[in-house]
Amino acid sequence: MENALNKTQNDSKIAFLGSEILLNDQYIIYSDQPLSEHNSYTCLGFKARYIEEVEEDNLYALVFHPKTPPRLDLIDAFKNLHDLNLELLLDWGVVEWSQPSSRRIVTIFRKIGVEPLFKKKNLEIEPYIEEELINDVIQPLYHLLDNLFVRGATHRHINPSNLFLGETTRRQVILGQCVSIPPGFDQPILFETIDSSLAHPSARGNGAMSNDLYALGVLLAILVMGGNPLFDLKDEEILESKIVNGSFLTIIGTFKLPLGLIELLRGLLIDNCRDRWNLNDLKLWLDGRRLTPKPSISAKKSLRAFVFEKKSYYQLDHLIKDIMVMGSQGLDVLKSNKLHEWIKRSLNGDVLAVEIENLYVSLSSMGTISNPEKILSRIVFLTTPNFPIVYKKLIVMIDGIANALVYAIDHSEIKQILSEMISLRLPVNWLAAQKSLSSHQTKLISVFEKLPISINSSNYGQGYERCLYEMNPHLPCMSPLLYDLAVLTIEDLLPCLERIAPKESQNSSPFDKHILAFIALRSKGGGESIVTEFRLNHERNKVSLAILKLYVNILKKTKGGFFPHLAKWIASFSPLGLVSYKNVNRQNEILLKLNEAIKKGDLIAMNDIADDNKLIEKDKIEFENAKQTYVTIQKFIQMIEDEKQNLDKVVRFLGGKIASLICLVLALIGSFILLLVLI
Amino acid sequence: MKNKKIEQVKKNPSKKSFGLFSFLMLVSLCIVFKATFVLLIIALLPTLVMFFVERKTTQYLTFCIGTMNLMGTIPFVFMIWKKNHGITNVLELFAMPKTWLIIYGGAAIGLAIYSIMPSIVKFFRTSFLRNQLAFAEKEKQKILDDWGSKIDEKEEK
Repeated sequence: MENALNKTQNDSKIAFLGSEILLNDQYIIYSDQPLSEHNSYTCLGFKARYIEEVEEDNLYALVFHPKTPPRLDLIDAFKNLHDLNLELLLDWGVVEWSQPSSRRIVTIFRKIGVEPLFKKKNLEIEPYIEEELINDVIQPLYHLLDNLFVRGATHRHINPSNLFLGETTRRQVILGQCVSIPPGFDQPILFETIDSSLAHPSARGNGAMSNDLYALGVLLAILVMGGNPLFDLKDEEILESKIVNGSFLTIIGTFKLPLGLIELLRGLLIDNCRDRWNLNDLKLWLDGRRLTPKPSISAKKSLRAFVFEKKSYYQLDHLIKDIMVMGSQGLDVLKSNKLHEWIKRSLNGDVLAVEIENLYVSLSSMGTISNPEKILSRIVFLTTPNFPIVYKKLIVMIDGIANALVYAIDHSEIKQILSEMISLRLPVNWLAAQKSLSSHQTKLISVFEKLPISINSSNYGQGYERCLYEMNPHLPCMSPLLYDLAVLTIEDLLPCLERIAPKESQNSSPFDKHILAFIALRSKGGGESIVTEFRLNHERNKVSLAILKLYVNILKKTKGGFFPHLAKWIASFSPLGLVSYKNVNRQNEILLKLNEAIKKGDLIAMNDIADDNKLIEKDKIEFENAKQTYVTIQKFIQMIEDEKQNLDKVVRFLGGKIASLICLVLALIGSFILLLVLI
Repeated sequence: MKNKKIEQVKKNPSKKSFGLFSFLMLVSLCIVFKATFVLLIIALLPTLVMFFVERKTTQYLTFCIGTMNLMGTIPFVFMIWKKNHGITNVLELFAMPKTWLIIYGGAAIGLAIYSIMPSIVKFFRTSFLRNQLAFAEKEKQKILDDWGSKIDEKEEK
């Protein structure tokens, strides 16, 4: 992860030179020289070379589609894994891509193999003899798998189409890369274990080393037999045969294996993963210690068939496999007395039959009856705990949910089912139904315990998107705004938003649920608090300020910089949202300052201007005072107007008073004078 | 209302007797100071008229005419008292035009003052109000310039 983070921080090293694209100052990718043989649904192949070696032509680059990133969780484990039997991943990174202007995740591989072992699909080859198989296939692939095991990785793409011959005269095989495709996505059913085969291709998960060993077992069988004996069978038939007859019988059939290989293939093709050979067993076998593999305990078979939909079933697993994909109709069968009787009498499953009845009754009494799909899932967990999680016909491996969430971004139906599945705590129920858990599965309990709370929340930073990034800690930001720019880290976020701002600012908001969930989980130390602050500000209808503070907080955690287009986008999203002083002069003054900051792209200055609490408080107090004064003046004016209306009356009254006073004074003075004059 | 007053009078018999006493005293004084009484009746005729005309409104006009009328009358009352307090003297006094001029001229001055005072007051009051209004409007505009029209908005509840 650390390397992954450092990787994208070196954006300065990425340069676009027309059709030649430079990666990490070391590799040149020729965007005008496609190599279609490396194309897959996740990526396109292009010619590449070391920058210093002009003539070398054994490098190729895979350029990933924005919504199907490589296995970023394991990419650093594979990088520079110098195993002679695996196509070498030399480097990876994010580059500027020419058409359309965007960024892409790119991986650089060195071709080791000369040519594919099977040049065409279903082509037969000369069978490997035992010694050749041990030296040229088993030994090298054992070392490779051991290498991967030490790194905590699985290959999940072991099949003949990914097998190449080395440069020697021998038929030593080299395994192709596995990072470009989600684990198990492209893997033929034949090479997948029964449980993984049942699951949706996008939801098979990284699995464990036992999945790779199973695929190795199938591969060895094909090499020994010189071709795929089941090439004419449909996937459904292969799966059914594996469940009914077991993988070993299905694949080997009546073929006479060399004696020395029988126990190896029996060990690797055991359907129960707990009994299947592990790397130690394989090592011991290679060292010459012959082990007797545990007999493959296939599911109990009944003597009397359970007939359902005109089909006879002798095994519960077989029946459940078909019921799983029937949806709620299957529940009618599962709760029927007929099935319970069959389990009791033909499979000696008295306890299981009672448990099914009890589970149905308890779930019904809890009100789950309104959701028969959930009851079906719970009964399937009880009857066949080795099967993956099923809900509404969608089947997922417990560790495949993460990949399924990514796949579901563009598949709304699957998205809905997955959301319900997580919300109903079915993954937790599935884990609880297991007899034993691996350490990885134990860790998943706490994750799935908290996901229902997130997925049921409509708060910003929660919901489906939160689960997506929680389960996929290396996933680029899948926001509709940003997915084309391969934003892998929080440091990439603002520069990429700045990049899309000129064209997006007219149409959309500068944030969405993906971005918020991405920030909450990828921002080191306090991502959650950043999103909470955003939510609080947003709830106070301070949308622009909320967005600004969100990105300022990110900016403070990263290396900083100026983002004029993003600043303009935020400001234009809600023009008066940033500065809302009541005093007109103050507002104009602050707007001028703000416009300067926007022009400069200084988000921190914008925030300081827009969020000056002292000034806001001062403005508020002054406004209240001015309002009071205004009301007083209004009243005063009204009083004057009223007086003007009644001026004659007032004047008469006042004039009378004044005249009275004057007369009184004059009378006193006049009386005195007259007295003096007349008397 | 009338009944109430009657009741009040009934309750205060001393007031009734005081009124009666005052009336008797006045009649006695009029008989004793007959000449003064005749002088006053004739001299204060404008005041008496105005008193009855203005009974139901503010009596500022009565007051103006009364004070000025009284101003013209008082010196003649003193003159009667100084000479010989008799009806003949009173008649002599009224025989002179100067007496009429002084007594009724005073009343006329009171009337004149009362008549022109509202116009003067109106002139000053109008100018005062105009100044006050201009000042208030100026202050109001200043506040509007500073705070915009939102200052006039009522607070949302």
